[in-house]
Amino acid sequence: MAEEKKKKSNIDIPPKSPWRRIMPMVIVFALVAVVLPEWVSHYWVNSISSVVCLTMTAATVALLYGQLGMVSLAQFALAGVGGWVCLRFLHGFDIPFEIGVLLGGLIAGVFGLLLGLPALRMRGLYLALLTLLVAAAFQVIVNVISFPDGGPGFTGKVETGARVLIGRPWLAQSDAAYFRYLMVWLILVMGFLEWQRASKSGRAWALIRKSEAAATAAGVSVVGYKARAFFMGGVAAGLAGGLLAGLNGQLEYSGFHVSQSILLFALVVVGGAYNWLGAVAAGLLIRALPALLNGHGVDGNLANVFFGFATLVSLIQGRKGIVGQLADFFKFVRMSRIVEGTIIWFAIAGLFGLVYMYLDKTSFGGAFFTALVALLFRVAIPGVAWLLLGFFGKPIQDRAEDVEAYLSLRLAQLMAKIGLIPDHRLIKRGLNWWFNGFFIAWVVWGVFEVEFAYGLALVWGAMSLKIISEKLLYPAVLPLRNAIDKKFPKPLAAYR
Amino acid sequence: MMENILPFLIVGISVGAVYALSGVGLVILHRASGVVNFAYGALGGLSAMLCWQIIDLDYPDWLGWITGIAAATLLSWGYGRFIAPTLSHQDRIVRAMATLGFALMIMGLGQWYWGDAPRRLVLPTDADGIDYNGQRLLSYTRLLALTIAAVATGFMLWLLAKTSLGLKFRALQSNRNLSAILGVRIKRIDSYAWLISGVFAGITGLFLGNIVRLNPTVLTFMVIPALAAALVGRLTSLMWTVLGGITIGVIESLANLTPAARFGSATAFVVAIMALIWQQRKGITLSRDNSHLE
Repeated sequence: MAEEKKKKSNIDIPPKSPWRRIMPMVIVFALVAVVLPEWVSHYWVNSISSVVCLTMTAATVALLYGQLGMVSLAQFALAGVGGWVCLRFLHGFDIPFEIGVLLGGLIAGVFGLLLGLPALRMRGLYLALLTLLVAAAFQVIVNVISFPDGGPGFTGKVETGARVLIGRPWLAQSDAAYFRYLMVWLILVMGFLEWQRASKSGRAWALIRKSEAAATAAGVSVVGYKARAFFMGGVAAGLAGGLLAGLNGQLEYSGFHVSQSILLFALVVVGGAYNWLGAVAAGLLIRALPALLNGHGVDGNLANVFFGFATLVSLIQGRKGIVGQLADFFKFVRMSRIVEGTIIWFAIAGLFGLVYMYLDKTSFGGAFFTALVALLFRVAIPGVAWLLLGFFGKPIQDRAEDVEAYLSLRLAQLMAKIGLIPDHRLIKRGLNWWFNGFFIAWVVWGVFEVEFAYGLALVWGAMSLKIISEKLLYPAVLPLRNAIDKKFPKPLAAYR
Repeated sequence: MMENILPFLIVGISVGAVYALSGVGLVILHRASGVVNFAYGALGGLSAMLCWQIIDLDYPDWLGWITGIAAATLLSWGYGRFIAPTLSHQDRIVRAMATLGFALMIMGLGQWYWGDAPRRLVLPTDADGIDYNGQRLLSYTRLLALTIAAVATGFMLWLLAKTSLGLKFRALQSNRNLSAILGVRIKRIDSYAWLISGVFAGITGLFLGNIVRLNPTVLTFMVIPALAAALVGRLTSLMWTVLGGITIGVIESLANLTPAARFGSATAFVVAIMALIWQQRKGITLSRDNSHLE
């Protein structure tokens, strides 16, 4: 009994070596880098490239907020500094692209350090306010002097004549190649940040966050580690700015409005500041949702309403964000189910990929990816809906639960009466399927331009197939499942 | 020389008065409930846009003003009464960031409904004003703003010092838990603070919509100059906040005379950053009397 308790409390212990923590991220990013440009249209490759830069910036916000509990609303302004410096150097001197990006990152890091200096004394709210003011001031400055576009002098602004764009690196001239090039940077930068989180610095940051007095007493240099976090955050944000400049060859002032910095923070909170996927979710949301809404003829500004709502919910409900909740969920699933689920998911997704490719509706990858997302959402959406419902308070959550239970019971009774096999999950599943199907089909319609009906058929088909295969394969899978369970009897979190 | 400066000085004071007024609304709320309300500008923006909409539909002007202010007040009170309490056990920073979410929601709705089209909020006091050397020095709108700022600040000072509600505000500022033990009804007093702050937001929204630009996004981010003014007063002192607001307004206006005129709109931020750093010089994060809010 005592031993069991001890084991339970071990579940949140970080993995043994930093590499084991970074590995899943590197593998996922590498896969995405290889596969994604083959699947999506030209327009979306560029969009997703800017998502990569935003993700990198979001990772710095998450680093400061998640590890140290410090709110920096100026990270996007730092990206602007990095971009500005990078552009100026590339226009002014004949240097390779990478050197320009690195210089931008370095100087943005110095600015980040300067920003962090008051943070050594200021805590919490005052730091957030200070960084907000800095971001606002940066917006004014960049509005006046604007980004360099090939002219002479300090500002590098062309007075008359055409604007000059900077070239991309020789390795990555095409859009797809540039996307892959960005992914390499992303892996390096986020890998480094994650590695820092998982090693000595991460432990020091965690201690500082808990109590500065305790950290000092334990011999941790509070000043040094705080400064290090700000410097690293600044460098990473600056690199992102430079890479963003390389994407279009220039930067627009309007992209660095203070609202962007605020949105970035809000979405890191929504996505989850404690997990690398949270930064990815933030980058995706900030860019993709407005574009998607606009693509469907809905005003993209409505995305802000959703972002605001989601931020409120995330702060009220707990502070791990969407990704954190999902990760928690997977932590407590047994290994055997994860293996089984992964195999079935990929088999179904592959099947649909082949079918849709044969029907000439999408590429193989498009259908494959959509089916995977559908299956993932099937698991995730009830949790997210639950989270959103919690906004209205625990009583409402309980009430909803009661109503659902009552209706399910009645429905099951009714089914039994007319001779069907009673299923108490019918309402939940129905709602989930309905929402999931329409939502993903709608997204796919916008992104891949697949007809709505085919998208719907894909999502619903994938989900039905999952349930059917579960039922059909159950006797065959059982011995396999037992064998795995025997070897790994505990949930995933115990094996990290 | 003086003749050149004087008009700018007076305009600066009148714009500064609006900053001061909005700063006062923020400080009142922060003193009572410990929340820095980032949605303040968004509430003001909503007030201004609603007012414009109603006047545009040919209803009488006064109905527009009242609706605008009432909407801002109602939303602010609703947030304070129903949403803020769910966060009361959290850090101060989390409570502040939650209002950011609220701000995004209001701003998004405003952008969606009204968009970016150029508009003007005309107040009847715009038409006339005080002239100087044959030039319009101060329109009555600005004079009105100045008067309201002075009166409202005076009123709040009186309220805090002399009334029982003010006493409860001060009790909350000093120590929330002890106040609760002594029978101060925290949620109710908090919601009064949100209500008062909402009125301030509504009124300043109307003035800012008239002075700056009538646009939901722009007005939402006018919370930053207001915060700057409030920061000069350390988010606690009304008098310093007023002084900070007016200083910012004056410097911003006088910057038009210098070569750096184009950077003028950064004044508020620079002043506040300097004030923040000056206040931190001894390493004290907060004034003693609200250290419990950390």
